Amino acid sequence: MSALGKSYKRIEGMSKVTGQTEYVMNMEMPGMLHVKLLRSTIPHGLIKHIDVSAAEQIPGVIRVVTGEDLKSMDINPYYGPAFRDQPVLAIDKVRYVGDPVAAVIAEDSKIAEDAVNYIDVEYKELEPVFDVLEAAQPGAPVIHEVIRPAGSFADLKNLLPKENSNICIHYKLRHGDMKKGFEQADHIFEDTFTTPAAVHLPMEQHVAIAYAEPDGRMNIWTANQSPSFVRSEVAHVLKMPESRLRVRVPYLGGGFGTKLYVKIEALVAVLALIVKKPVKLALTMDEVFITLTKHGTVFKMKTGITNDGRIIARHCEVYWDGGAYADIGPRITQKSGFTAAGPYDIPNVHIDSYNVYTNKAPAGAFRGFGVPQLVWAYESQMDIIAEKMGWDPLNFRRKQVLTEGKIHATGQKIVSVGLDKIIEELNTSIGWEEFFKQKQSNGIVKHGSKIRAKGVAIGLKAVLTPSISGAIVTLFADGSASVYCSTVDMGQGSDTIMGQIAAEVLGLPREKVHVVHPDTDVTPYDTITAASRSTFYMGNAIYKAAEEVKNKIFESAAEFFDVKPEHLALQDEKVIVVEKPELSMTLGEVVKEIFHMPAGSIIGQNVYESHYQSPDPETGQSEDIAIFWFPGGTAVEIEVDTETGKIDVLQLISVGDVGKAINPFNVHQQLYGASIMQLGQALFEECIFDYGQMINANMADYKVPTFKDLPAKTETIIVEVPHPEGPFGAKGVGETASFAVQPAIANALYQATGVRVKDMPLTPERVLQALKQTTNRSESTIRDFKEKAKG
Amino acid sequence: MALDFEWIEPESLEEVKQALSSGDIGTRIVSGGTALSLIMKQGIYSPERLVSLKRVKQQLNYIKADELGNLYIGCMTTLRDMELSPLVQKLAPVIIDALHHVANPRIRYVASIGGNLSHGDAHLDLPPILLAMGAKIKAESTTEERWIELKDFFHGYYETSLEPSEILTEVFIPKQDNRLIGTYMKYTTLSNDDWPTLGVAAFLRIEDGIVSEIRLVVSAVTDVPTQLTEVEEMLWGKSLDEELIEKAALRAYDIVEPLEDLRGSVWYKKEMVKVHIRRVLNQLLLEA
Repeated sequence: MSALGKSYKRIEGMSKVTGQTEYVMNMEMPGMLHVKLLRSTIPHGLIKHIDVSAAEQIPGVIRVVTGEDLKSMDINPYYGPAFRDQPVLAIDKVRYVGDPVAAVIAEDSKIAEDAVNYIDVEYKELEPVFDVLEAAQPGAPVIHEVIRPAGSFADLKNLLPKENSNICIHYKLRHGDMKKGFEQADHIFEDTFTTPAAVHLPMEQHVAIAYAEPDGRMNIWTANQSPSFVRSEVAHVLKMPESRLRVRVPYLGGGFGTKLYVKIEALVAVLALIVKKPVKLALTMDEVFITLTKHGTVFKMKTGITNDGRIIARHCEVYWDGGAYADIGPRITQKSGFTAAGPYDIPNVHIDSYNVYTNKAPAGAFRGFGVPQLVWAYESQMDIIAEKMGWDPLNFRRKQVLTEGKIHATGQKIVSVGLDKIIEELNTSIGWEEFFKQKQSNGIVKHGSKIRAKGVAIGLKAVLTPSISGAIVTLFADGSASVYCSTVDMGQGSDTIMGQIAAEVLGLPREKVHVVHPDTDVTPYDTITAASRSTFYMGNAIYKAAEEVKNKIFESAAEFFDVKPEHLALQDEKVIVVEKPELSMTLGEVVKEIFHMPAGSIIGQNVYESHYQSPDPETGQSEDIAIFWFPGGTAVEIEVDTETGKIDVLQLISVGDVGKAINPFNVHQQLYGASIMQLGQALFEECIFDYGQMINANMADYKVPTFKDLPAKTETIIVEVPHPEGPFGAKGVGETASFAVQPAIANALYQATGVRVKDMPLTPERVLQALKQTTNRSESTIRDFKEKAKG
Repeated sequence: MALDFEWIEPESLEEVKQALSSGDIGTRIVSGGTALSLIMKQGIYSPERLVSLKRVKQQLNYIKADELGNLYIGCMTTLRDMELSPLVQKLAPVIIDALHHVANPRIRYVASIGGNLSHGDAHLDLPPILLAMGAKIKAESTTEERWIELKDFFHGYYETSLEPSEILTEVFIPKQDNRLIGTYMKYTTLSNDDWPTLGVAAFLRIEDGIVSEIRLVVSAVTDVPTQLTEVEEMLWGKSLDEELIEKAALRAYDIVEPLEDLRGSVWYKKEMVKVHIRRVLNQLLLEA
């Protein structure tokens, strides 16, 4: 009867496909008003004057609100998870094309949309800066004159901003002796890799409704991945106790990171206070593009190797293009930053990771949280080195991959990381060994203009640490149960899995457990639904809360049967005495025994909190920086058309170590989804900017993979190296297959053509250009390749 | 999107023409609406009055052939209707092959041939094929009815020779010589369902090893579908071989002047013209 390891169908599946699921987008309230935003048309400037009079005269328009109005309110008008740098509406200054400047509140959204055109704004333009490296230079136009650390999260307290600079965070890691390391190296490789901004594009846009009760108590319904944070941050903005603010989140139509922290919630809450009526803001898809992007990066990587195939030293300099507001960039800069040297046992590592403001749409969390940008660099360079040295790239990885008990560059001992197993799965599933042998002896065969080849890459991510998840499990008198938790089911299937965990502990069929959706008046605090953390953190909280319920049941039943609690078990919705199974009572009978009537509830609760050691601010060293690490790998076979540069991915194989697959089908879906999402980014997704304006900010010009773009063969493979602290050994999986897709494809392209592309995405034009440059060169097939002889 | 436009649904073609008769460019026809809604959303076009063809669809939705094998297609015929039509399959199979790869079935079920051509978008797949087939369209207004050769129809991005008072009612595709073989090659650089970066329509007839007829039209790289007459002239009366094909491809590379956009630079599009002219000719030569 065990619920564990079973591929239960999504509990919400039928309701979703029949169009009955509740989304904020469809919610209405009596007397509800609608909001549309006027956004900045310039990338950087001061607001000299805003004239809203013409807009306010339009019938149906209730009010137009600007930054000037915020100044006269008793609120904290700035918010943000790392720095409180983002205003509810632009105050005196705009920092990117798309920065919200004014909000029109009207009786319907079409009137509001029309009225936006009648607002007149006069700007004084300031010099903008768009390029991340230029923005990091001293003397670049300063985008934020004042920086206000938020102090909301323990892991971000050590990261102090630089004044008068666009570098809002500089994270450092120092491990071993860099100078000595490079002296010991026989060869040194230096490469620069870049990735562009890209977007998440969940099917459902950002949407929120706010309503202040007559006594001022604030209610927010929002499509957001972090209800607990919305409560605390909006409470800060409104200068309200958290108990006066209630945040509810139903199902989300996808999140992928763009719905984390506060996006539009502070604004709708402020507007609801002003007009004293329910207000709704639903962004359009075009607005979603400029609300949050994935960080573009520039990664300069220098690696020293020895002739016996060891990486002896690695220096990483990573620039994260944060756009106009830091959002969660500082955490990405640190938490993903510290994995920049790759999942390898390298004695000497230096990392400098910079989060830099630019006058573009803000960047933040994106499935993978910065790790794919880093894996792009380090796994590309692994193959560059192997090719140059004449080594099998997979063997080169085997030689230094982090295995159980090895020390990571952060100083933490690696536990439960099945990277070695992943490498072997990749090898056998794609047929790497045969491919490489064949290539070594016969070379690569060209069919007309087309060449096929294979490529492999691996990556490793550390889960968000420290963080907190609270859960309550209630057993009702009839033997059914509810789980109260603030994990948001945004399509990943958490309702199904969280219920499965409780059902497993309580010996209940899955159907008898209901998972209550986030409601901050009801469900306990949870840091965020992101970072592949929920199964581990929330899973643990639910496991332990359910254990508490179980213990209470056993306590009572033990007394009843006059046995010790450890002699009892839960089975088929009954408590049984293990030695004498004929002695049993139903859960309803237990409740009756406890409360002396067939009513009441047995409640268990748990707040699961990670252990953590804050890294040294100068060296980034910590023996306990992440409660778990989770690895993933990708193998591909591609066919590249050498006349057009177009890459067709024929096989896409994703391997992830998930510790324990609580719901195997769901785990396969997560691996599959993450890999396909990366496929588009590998091949053609990219935000294009013209003087700070994103010119393809619509789904007609920014394309994502369609069914016809899917590889002919896709495979997802689960590896299970149980984690000692995970619920039933489980780790996370939401991001696992996102890490290595891009370098695997680039490495296959390299095997096929000898061409190394170091800038994403691998568009046909970029690939063709590289092919032409390479064939024009007489000898070296590797661009930007530097080698230093020893001595 | 501007909101204050009027929406009318005339009951007859005559009423449609009446609605257009003022010649006001603020008045436009909606058939499938797939393209119009997009340019309205993007703020490129804000209509004052939209004339829906919903109620006249019945009489303008047809695919007919005469005894000679000429095709007549009513303007409200959807791309899906054409894709599934045995008549089109028999008389113009190249169109069917191309339609399988136009957008997606949801779009093809509503987009109409009349709208597809009237839109004047250089990135669509049917214009180059129809142009290569020598198609013409019938334009009607309250005062006039005229036929326009497709080669004279497209003027630039979203510009055609239709007067604001006219409606495109019918497409005429002349009977193609049975010995003519044709193909359409669509090339996308972003997702598979994207508009083409380049489209090439080609028809070829070889008699006794000699090119006796050739039509080559490229689209998407330029603001109107362009017939490569210079390249065609190089091939007429010649024996088509690898060397000649290469010359033709290079000539096409030289004469096509693409516009740079999100789907490719001038350099890249020129390269793709060269590669795909070569491929198209090689493919036709193989089939001939």
